[in-house]
Amino acid sequence: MGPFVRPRDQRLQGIPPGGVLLLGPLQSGKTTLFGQLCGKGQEEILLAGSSHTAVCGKRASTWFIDVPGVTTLFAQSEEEEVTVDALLALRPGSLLIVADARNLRRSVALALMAGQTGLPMAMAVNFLDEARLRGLTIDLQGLSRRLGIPVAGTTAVDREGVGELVRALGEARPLSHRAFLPPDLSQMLERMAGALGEGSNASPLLALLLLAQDKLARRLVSEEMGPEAESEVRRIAEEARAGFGVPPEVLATDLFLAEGGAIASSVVQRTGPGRSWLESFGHLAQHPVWGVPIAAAVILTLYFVVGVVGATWVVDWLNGNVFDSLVLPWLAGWVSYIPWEPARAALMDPDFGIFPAGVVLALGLVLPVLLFFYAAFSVLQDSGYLARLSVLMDRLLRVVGLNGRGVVPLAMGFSCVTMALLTTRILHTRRERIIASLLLLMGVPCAPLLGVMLIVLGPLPVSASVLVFGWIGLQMLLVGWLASKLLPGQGGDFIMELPPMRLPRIRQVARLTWMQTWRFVLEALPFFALAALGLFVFNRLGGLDALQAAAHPLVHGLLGLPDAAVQVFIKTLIRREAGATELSHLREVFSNVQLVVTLLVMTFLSPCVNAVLVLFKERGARVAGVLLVFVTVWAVVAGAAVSLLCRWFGITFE
Amino acid sequence: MELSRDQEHALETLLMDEERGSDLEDVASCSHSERPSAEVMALLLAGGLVEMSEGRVTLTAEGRGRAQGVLRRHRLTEVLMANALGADRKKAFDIGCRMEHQMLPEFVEAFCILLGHPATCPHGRPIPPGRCCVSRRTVVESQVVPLTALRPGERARVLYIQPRTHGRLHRLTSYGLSPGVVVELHQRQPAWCIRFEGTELALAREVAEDIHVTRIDEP
Repeated sequence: MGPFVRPRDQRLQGIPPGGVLLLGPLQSGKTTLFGQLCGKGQEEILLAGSSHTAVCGKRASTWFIDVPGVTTLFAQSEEEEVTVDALLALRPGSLLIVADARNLRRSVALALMAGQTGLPMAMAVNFLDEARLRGLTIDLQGLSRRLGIPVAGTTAVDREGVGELVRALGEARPLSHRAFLPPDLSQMLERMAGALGEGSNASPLLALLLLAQDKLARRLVSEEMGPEAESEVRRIAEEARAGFGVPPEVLATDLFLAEGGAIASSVVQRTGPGRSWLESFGHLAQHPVWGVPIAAAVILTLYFVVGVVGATWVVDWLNGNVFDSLVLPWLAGWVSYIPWEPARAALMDPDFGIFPAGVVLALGLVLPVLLFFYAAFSVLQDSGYLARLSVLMDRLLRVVGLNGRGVVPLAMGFSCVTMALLTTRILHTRRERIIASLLLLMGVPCAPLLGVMLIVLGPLPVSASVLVFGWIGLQMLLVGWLASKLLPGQGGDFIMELPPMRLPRIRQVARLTWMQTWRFVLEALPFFALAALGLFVFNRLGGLDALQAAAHPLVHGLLGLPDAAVQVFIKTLIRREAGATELSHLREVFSNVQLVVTLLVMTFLSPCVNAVLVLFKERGARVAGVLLVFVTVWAVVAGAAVSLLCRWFGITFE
Repeated sequence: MELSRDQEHALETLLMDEERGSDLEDVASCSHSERPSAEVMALLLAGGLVEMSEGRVTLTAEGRGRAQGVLRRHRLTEVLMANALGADRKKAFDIGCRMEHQMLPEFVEAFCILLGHPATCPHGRPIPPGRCCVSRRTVVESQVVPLTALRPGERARVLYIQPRTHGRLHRLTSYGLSPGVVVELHQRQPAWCIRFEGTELALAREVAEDIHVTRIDEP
């Protein structure tokens, strides 16, 4: 055995040898599967952004290593080098090939190449459900027989087949399938293998990489066998390449791909009818003409489910029958035992108390709306409709300097702006990310805010809703268009994978809905309570009156709002939906026009604390600062404009 | 099912035998001297391209189609060599034997149009007609076209991707779209939607323009 060679890549150092290395093409769901394998007990040595560096985690006593996706082991890019480095220098005990069931050819080709290491291997055929929906049936046992390694079918996103995969890993074996190599190539490989001798890392793969003049492989030889051996293998490679028409790496890649294709076509069967009605629906949904009424119908349904059923019926019922008649009186009973008046008031004051203005508003008003919204949004996501909407919206989003991919973060913004800011990562260029962030901050109301907006707008005439949402949409188009003209750089490519259309699965939808709602409860409830408490204290100290007096010219004069609007805006700055709930709480003192103007200013106003934190983290201090100042000034100007126009034309929304 | 050289040869020989029929005139210069081996026959039998009846091997419908394709490529090459380039018939036959396996099916049509839809080979044997012969097309369309030239429903093989940015090539190959892959175009508006193997992608026009393909004739 030679000495242990440290991996060249800093990020790989510190991972013990003998682990399971996950290898697979890009987009094969490798990282998701890795997450499922290591679960929450993941001990990450290296924290890194998804799939660009190696990540390491543990399940029971086995280490798993996730490296960037590759289609060949002849490294071309930096990410591919990390993978080859891990394979050669990390000394994994076994390999787990994560194959893409939708595209088996390249995955099998990779397995054939990785098999040249002689390491025990197992294979996960991932995305099995999508392949099935596309009418592809894969003979997993046949594949296992052809390759001579255990194969398990998985659907990583749904945690399906993970147990089976762990069992398969226990039976990992070296590949028994021998890829056919033309005589001249195998002769060269033998010569190279002869030069390597019995080195601890010697394998047909190493010989192949040396023939391809791979610099990592050469470094390994030089470190393990000395510089003389290195110059010897370098000489052999040069000699071999000189006598060869095609570079050996090109020849080998073609051979593995051809062999992979032959194996794949022998185990994949196209079955089922050519087109299901769901698939036809999917095509209609992205059709330039038919897609539009479908999108309109989907959005109207969404509005009905969230705005009417959730925000009106359920909220009314909950408040009438649960909170106002049972919970609050019950809480008041307990609070009355507290001997100190300020504490009692801090808890139960109808305007600023922690319970009525904090907890009950969050649970009774925001939560039910959220639940409906998240459920509806999860249905759109799980069914594959969202991707079709991206295709349809591509042209429109180009106006604002984005492309169809922008639909995902923007639509996500209607659920939670903070999460949506994180999702802007899927956009390819910095310019697109800045524009998307700007639109999210400025115009997109998150689900809690949207919910309360719907509650406030509900009793008003429809024209008020039309004005509010029409104005928001118009502003977004205008600002996005301006930004796309002013910001330097190029737009990104629109390349988007379309998942198959399917009927939404109740379990997945329930899981997504639950996860998101629960996160809201954990994150927002303390904010609601603290905001109520802070405002209560501020008010007792006389701060609110002072601030209202100071802001009077701006709020009353320019925006034409009652002074109470100040406390709505303060809460808005803490959490947008907290401000909106405050507004629905105080609606008696507002006229209808004032409600409309306040809602607009709130939507345009700065986002919640979390979103601001994420914004700074994702976009950097300079860009984030500029965006926030712009959005705040815009909010006041746009609000004033609407207020003046309404007064001018005598619009009252009564 | 991809056929090996030997398998294609075997199919072609069967078709030639049939063509000769009871006519025992043996034109040594236009048929293969070696007979297909038992192994090759077994593979064809398993693949459903030939069948055994009454101790005789005959072509199935699918096998006949494949055999006609091979023979067509063979005899078109002979016409090119002997009639257009002036090679002798023996040499033309030998070159035909090689080209019949190597010529990409998608280029056969252009080849046939350029030669003017010849009906017979230099030995006077019939050339199985293609679709272009039936419609008597005289204009060769460029065989390598950008993806944007396809009509919905058409299938094409990716020949090469000439990206304007490196990132674009990387993203396309990361979805498994690389030379050799057969794609089917589904829609052109508002974005180009293609399907290959089990993947469906939507592409902007600029991206689709970078992907160069050649149309595949329906079999």
